[in-house]
Amino acid sequence: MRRLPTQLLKGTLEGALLQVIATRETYAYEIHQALVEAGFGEVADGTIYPLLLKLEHAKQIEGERRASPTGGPPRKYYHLLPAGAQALAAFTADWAQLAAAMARLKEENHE
Amino acid sequence: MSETEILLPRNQDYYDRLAAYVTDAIGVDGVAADSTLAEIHQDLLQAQHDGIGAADYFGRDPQAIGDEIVANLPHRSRRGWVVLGIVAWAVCFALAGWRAIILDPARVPLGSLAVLALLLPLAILVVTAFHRRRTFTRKKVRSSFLTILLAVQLVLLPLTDAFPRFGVVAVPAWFSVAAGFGFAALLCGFAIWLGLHSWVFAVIVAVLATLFAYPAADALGTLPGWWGRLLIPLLVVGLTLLIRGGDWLLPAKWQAKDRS
Repeated sequence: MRRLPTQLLKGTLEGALLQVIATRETYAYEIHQALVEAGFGEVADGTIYPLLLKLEHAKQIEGERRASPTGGPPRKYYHLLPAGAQALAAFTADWAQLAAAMARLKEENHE
Repeated sequence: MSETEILLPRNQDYYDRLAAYVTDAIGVDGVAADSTLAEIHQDLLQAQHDGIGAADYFGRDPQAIGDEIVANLPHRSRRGWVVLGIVAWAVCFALAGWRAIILDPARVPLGSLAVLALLLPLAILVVTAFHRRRTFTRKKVRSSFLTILLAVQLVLLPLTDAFPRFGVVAVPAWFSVAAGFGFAALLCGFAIWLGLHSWVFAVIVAVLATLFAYPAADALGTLPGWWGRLLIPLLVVGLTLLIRGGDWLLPAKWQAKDRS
């Protein structure tokens, strides 16, 4: 899989994190795995932590430390807050607009 | 993955450097930093369990990642800085004052000490920042505490002796006795409250407390002969046992909360 350019990844990673957390309550390692499996390429876990802190500071997500259901050591599980749901909705709309615009440009190129 | 699993040496080294870089950052909220580092540690353990090394998993530029983590961690508030500044000044004034009393109780330069107590914390911040810059380049991870201790003992304290002396006063013997035993008691109480359940920590604190208690006992004029020679080891051993005993006897609810 190609490694996505850093600048492109920077603009979309925040929205992607919100999307993963909106799907289920999860912790950093699982978020990383979800991103890799979704095709984001080799995203360094180190880039995820500052974003999680930023989103937590902006009250878009909330972390809660508790025992792992699989019996492993305690982890910090993140869930979405109302401000996070709003930010995700805005990101999704922006992304749809961007994708549609890109598609139109491609169509014009084919014609 | 079990709770008892530990990081391999190369992964532990990666984590230790990152942890030192983040916790040595000036003004970062310590509790928030510890919480984030605990999360990172768990992630590295899980990555290792899945066969991925720390650098491959977390990123090959830990310093840049450390900078971003520090930028997004909560920082000390203005009020927090004021409180820290006052505490730092008071501690430096007390320690430098005690040193001056031991050297010559008849000529203690209170004015100079008040100014030096302002400069010493600033110098310690500079030393910490300098130490932190080399976190990822030095051969072994080293605690900034050791660097600060050496810098204070070998450079900063000798420099203070060259500082102009003003506001000189004579300190009465009763004050030396009260301050010496008082500081020793405070240190031991603090160690018991921390409740680290460690003999090494207890011995370190006991040695520090002895540095206060011995001159106080000396000021009482009761240290001739064998009793005086034996007092230092007796104080170290006695205070170590006192700290460990207090640590053991004090109910956990009155001790400092474990932050991990």
